[in-house]
Amino acid sequence: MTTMISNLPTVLIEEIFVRVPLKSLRAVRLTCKSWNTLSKSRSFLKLYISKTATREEESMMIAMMNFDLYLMRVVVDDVDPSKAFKKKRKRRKKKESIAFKRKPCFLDEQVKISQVFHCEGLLLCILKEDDTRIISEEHPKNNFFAVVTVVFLSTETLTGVLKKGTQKTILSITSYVLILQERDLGRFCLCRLALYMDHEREALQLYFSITNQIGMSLIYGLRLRLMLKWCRGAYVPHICDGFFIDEEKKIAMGFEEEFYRKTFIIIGEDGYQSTCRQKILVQIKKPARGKRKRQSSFEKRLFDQNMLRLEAFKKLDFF
Amino acid sequence: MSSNKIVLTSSDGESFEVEEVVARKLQIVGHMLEDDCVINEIPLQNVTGDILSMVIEYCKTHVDEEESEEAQTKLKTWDEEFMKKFDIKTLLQIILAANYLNVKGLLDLVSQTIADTIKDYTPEQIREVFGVENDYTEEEEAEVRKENAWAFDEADTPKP
Repeated sequence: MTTMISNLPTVLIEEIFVRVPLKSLRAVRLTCKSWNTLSKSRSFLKLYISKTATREEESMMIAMMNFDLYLMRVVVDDVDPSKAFKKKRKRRKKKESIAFKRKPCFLDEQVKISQVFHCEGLLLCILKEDDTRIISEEHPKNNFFAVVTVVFLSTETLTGVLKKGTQKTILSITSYVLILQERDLGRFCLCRLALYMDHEREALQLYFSITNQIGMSLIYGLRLRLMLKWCRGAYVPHICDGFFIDEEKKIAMGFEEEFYRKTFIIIGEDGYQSTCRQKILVQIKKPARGKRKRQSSFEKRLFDQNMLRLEAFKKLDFF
Repeated sequence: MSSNKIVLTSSDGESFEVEEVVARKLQIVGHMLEDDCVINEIPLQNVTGDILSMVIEYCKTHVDEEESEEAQTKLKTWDEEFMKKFDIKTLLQIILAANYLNVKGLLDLVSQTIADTIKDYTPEQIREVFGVENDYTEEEEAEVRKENAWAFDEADTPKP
């Protein structure tokens, strides 16, 4: 009796493919049509992402590029930051002269361009076209507070993909961020986000204030300090399209944009390093128009309700 | 009760006498025993004798899963050696058997082994090793290639 892999039930093929690193999935997809379809199916992607824990060497981030969301896996080697930094400078001398023209005080740029955050299991998606307000009156002038606007993504798009491995998934609406509780997807909290630069500590901080879903009462404030220490005068990378923070390894990762060219950079605690490291992306498709319509009436009602609520919040202009 | 012997019979009539604890590692058997079918001989229709013997070998080794680190590493090494014995075709049969007999650990192990094989292969190699037919037209293949060309060594600017 000869057993061919094509004779295996789909469940078993999935079971195997789930263990293939993302990098090699490309080869799998190129092998034949059915495998290509299989490895792109939602059920497979769900399974694949839920297995993240078994592939520890890879970090996962979500990046937004050209208004599409991508799920991305990053492999970070233990590179000496200072070395990588030097290497990078050498290689990119030409470009750097341009980059230096951009002022190191990047704060407002940072906020505007931030598209997707993924910190401590929270995910924020930030819409590019939305206006970004800088609120400074509440704070000493050196501290900037910025309210970031965020994009709404349908629950089914993201939660399916992101639920596992993250404690909370943030979905978002203008000026607010929606946090979905992992266990109960029907309940969510509203959250406002503030990014601010602490000049004294030379660190970038990200604030979340979270309100419960009905009232304005604060449930808790989540403070996250970025492990970045910016050297004065050093070239501060211009991170676009969001970044990912790995607190354990004390690094941040993101894209640097120069004349529409995107370079993937990794920033360490001491200064920064930057490399175009191996990475492969999977695109998370936004739901097509038709798909929205298929939402259950309950979902729709929930969505409308929340939109209304948000409108009300907007009018109050509470921070 | 653990000293009970149970006879497992494969589809080609081969019989294996194993202890109940070992047999219980096959969850299909475990369920039968829980259903109070007090039987000493269990026919397993979908597995041939040679494959069943390997599954039993696995189960015997894994019969008492110790928590200690030392035992874990030892088992791991054993697993690796165990897997080295088989070619792809046998592995595929084992995975089918593990699925049918519901041996979770073995299923994981074999899947991982096959995945590791796939990992380093090009699509051509995968087709050859697994006997998969290429049903792409050239254009389609180029399309898929393009779609997945996301590593930075190929393009700096991602296309949507």
